[in-house]
Amino acid sequence: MVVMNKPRHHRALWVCLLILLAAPTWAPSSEMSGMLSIGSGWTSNHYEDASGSPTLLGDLMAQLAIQSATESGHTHWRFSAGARGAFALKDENAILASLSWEQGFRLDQGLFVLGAEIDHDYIPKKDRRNYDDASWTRFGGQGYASLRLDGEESSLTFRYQAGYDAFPDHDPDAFTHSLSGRYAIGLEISTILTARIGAGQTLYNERHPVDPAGSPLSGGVQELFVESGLELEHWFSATTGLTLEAGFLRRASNASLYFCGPGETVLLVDGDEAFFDDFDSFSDWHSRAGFTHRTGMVRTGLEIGIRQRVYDARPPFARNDTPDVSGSCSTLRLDLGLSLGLELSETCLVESLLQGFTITSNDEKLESTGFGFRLGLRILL
Amino acid sequence: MHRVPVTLVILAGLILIPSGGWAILDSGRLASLCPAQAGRLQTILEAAGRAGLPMSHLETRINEGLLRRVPCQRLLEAIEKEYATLVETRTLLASIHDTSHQALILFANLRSSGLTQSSIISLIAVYGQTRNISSAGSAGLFLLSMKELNWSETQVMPLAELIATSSWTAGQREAIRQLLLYGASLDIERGQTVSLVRSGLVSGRSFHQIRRNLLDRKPFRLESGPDRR
Repeated sequence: MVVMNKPRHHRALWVCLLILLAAPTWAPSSEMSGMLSIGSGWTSNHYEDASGSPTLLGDLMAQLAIQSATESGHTHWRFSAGARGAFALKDENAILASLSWEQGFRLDQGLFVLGAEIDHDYIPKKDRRNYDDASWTRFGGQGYASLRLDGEESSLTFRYQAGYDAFPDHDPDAFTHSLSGRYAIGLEISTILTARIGAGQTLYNERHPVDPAGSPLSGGVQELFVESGLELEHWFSATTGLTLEAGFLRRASNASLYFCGPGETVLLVDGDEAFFDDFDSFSDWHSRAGFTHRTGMVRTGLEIGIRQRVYDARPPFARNDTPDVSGSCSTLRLDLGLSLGLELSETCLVESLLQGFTITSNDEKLESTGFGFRLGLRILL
Repeated sequence: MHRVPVTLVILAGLILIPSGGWAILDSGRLASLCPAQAGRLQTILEAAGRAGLPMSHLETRINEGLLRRVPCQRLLEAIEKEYATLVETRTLLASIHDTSHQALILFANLRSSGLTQSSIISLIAVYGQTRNISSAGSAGLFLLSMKELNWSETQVMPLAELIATSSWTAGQREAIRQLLLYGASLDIERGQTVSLVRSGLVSGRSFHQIRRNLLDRKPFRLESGPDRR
């Protein structure tokens, strides 16, 4: 376990703040926007699993954006800082901060963008659910480049991004990079079709596949993923719209698991150990429908979604933690959300959200249902 | 709450369907339903007739009020206000040498529906150049429909003026409204949204291109969507 270095975290935040404050000096024609959001709510199942952990929630977030745009392109700085609390689950409380920069270069028929972002989740409490009693504090950084080719009624965007997430107290430190393409076309004045496709790789440097005896192999865990999706957005009028989306995700992983036995987090050689070779590869399909309507000061949104995931070889587990080696784990998730926004003024919005989900699975530890609500206030500054 | 949409339907009807003749006031019905106010209402109608104002417009309003069983005193106040609006609007239209009843009724209706005098002046100024009553009406309806969505007339006037000089279809005008709401949903300041939409329309960009430009100018990251993909 790594002991956290608090002063180092604070230094990083100060550096972010100084960069941000200095930004307007080299962007004299910049526009500044601010946003403050605060909210509170409750969920019946925070982890969305069979543990069914209920908790009150709270969040506070401040965002600042500075952008300058000219005929030749744009410069954009964004800074956000805030806190997120789960009052019954102290180890979920987090202080969040991020800083991003983006530079756009206007082309004859398109836009080329370079960007970078660093972000930090500071989680002061240890994770009491986890065997190594460590915090999920995280540092992240990523860079990206995108090229957009513009047509009159369409645009084609290619984007490459690469980033690294570091967890000082845990082992999912990983480098992820991906290449994606996105094509959007206006079929009619109020109908937009978007197709996207992407592929990427995640390389873990502290997680290793294990051999059948449970010994870590030399290379790190690697995941390859491809995804694609189609989205159709149609506006019946200026105030009433419908969005339909369908997508596919395939992940191929070389992760394997040496299972110590039901309820065991350390190895006790008692004959109930098992080795699962291909533990994390899966195929995933999802579709979603969203309906929005606005009347006067009130915005209403309704969203339903369905997601099915089938693992290649991961066995389903019974509630007593016993694997069923004869089958492979599959889940079906249904989501329903209703949002209501009340626009008090041009800059002040009261938001409310009611949502529920149900997961059915042959893995009893994943089967769960939950619902929750949030009431928040968003102020543009 | 439903006053503005109802007015929009009525106004749209007034613009699209040409006036077919004179309305006839049912004097007997007026005298029996509002005996105390009937005399004053008749006086207003006579004054309108002498001033060359469209009496039929006021008669229609009175008939409408009687049918909807509006309290007599409120009906009288409404007709007095309508008369004053007609007088005021005619004065404004005289400055562009327009004496048509069609324009007078349109702008008076827009004023009665809640547009400020300064908005009416702006619309009349554009109408003075184009003499296109249909586009002027569309611009007025656009202002009212955005007002219903909490946008001020001042904010959207640059686009209303553009609509008043254009020959856009109802679908295209609806798309302009949708662009404004899209900009607001991206947390772009309203003045900037109007400016971006207007400059895009003026330079002949497609709605898809204007939408893309708005997306480029969003101040904050989207929770989902292109930013995260």
